[in-house]
Amino acid sequence: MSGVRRAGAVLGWIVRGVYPFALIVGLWWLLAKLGTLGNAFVMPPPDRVFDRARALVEEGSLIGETLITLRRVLIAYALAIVAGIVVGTLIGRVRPVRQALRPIVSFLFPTPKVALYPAMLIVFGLGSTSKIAFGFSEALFPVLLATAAGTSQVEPRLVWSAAALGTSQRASLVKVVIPAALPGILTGARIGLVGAIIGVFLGEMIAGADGLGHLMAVAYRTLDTSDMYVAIITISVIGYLLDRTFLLARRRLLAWSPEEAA
Amino acid sequence: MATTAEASGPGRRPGPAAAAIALPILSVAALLGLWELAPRIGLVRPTSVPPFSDVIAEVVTVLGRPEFLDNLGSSAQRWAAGFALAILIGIPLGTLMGRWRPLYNLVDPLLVVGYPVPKAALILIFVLWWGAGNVSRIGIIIVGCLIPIVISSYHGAHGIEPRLLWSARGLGTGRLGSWFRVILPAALPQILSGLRLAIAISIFTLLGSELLIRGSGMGAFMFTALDNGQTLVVFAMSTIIAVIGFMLDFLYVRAVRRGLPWLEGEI
Repeated sequence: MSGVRRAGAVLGWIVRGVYPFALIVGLWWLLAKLGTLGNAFVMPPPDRVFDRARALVEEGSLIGETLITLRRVLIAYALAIVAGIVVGTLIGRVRPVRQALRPIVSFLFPTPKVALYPAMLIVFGLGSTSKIAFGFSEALFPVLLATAAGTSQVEPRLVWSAAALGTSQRASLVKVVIPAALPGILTGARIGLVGAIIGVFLGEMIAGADGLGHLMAVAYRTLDTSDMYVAIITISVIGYLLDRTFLLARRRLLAWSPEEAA
Repeated sequence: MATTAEASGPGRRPGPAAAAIALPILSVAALLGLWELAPRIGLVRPTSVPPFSDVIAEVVTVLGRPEFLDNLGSSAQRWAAGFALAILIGIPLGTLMGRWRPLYNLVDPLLVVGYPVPKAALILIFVLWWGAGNVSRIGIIIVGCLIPIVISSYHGAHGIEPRLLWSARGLGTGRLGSWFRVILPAALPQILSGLRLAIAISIFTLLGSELLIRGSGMGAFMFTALDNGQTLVVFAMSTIIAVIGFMLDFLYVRAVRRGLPWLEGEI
């Protein structure tokens, strides 16, 4: 009985994983054939875009651009995670820090970070640094706010027990407070991951000489429409895979937590 | 009862009132002071980062320029149209998903796939299909903020106490009637938090798409100033847009608190 149910669950999982892609490609193929959105120039069918992607891979450019973008995304994200957790924990646990930073954080959090892109471009230049800064600025605040909220709500008894067992205050931040706040932190971190991807990709489109965003912007200017589809699909697939990986990692990290069961 | 005050975290303990007032003011003053002084004493080039006071003066100038108001107007109109349409599509779709499992199974995998797509970049594809006019510019805002609206409406409608619906049915309320009178009000708190998120994302999408295809709008205005090397105008526009983004969020939260005082918890 449970074997049948498990087989059913696996089948459902596969269907749920494959179905959206099948639907999107199918719909895309249909729209291209019917010409609803325009001719094959503005709406190339999936097979033509796929051929173009293969050609770009054989040229060696697609994989190179993808790795450049991926590297920037991961650097921006790692920096945002570290800064977000450190500053967020300080805001959550240390009152003077919270009082000092609250006005700045509550102004910057809802502010559209894209408004600051030009200023960041001027300050950080046209190279990788400005793209990493864009991704960082998009990813930071979800992590920071989730950490501040999570660490400020940790059950005090946990901290007391650790203190009674001889854990210093500083050590209990790392050993007790942050782990206890982890479910909330990871919820913010998932939002931040997409922020990092979008910030880096948009940055590459605005200014720069490489990366998937640059590929897309150049293709738009030179009207290589198939290349545009290749670029946006590649970044979307990267985003999807990173998001899935993140969710898997979260399940691992939170195996102990009752919230994961829900 | 003393433990409950402790249990609400270190933030709730009444601290020295002086620090609570002084620290926020000091930190903001230090930040603005650094922005003012760094270019003046040569830490950064004033052509890269103009001093705060110069930027504020330029903000006043920019606010008075007629082309600024034109661009603000066209951005605001497109944003309002796109946001309204996203609400009209997203809330019915999300609440139906919450009450009818097959629709959820059908739509949710698509949302999962669509979630990490950089929506603002899709504007270039939309331009291929529909040109650089209002169809593309409004369409991108709908696409940009649809997911948080659908997801929050789904969660709101999914979590409804079944007894509420049974009672309504038992008293003879029809399907459409109970959607309006039971499901929608019960899902409202979740929907309103989703809308807050959607405001932030849609502003980002609006500016991002405008900077990519230019033409008109706040994003186009700011990035054209960047292309022309008008650093002071760029910083002034950054400041204006940042303040507008902050105010929209602030006013939204205030309006919800005012309009629905019975709402509990965070928005």
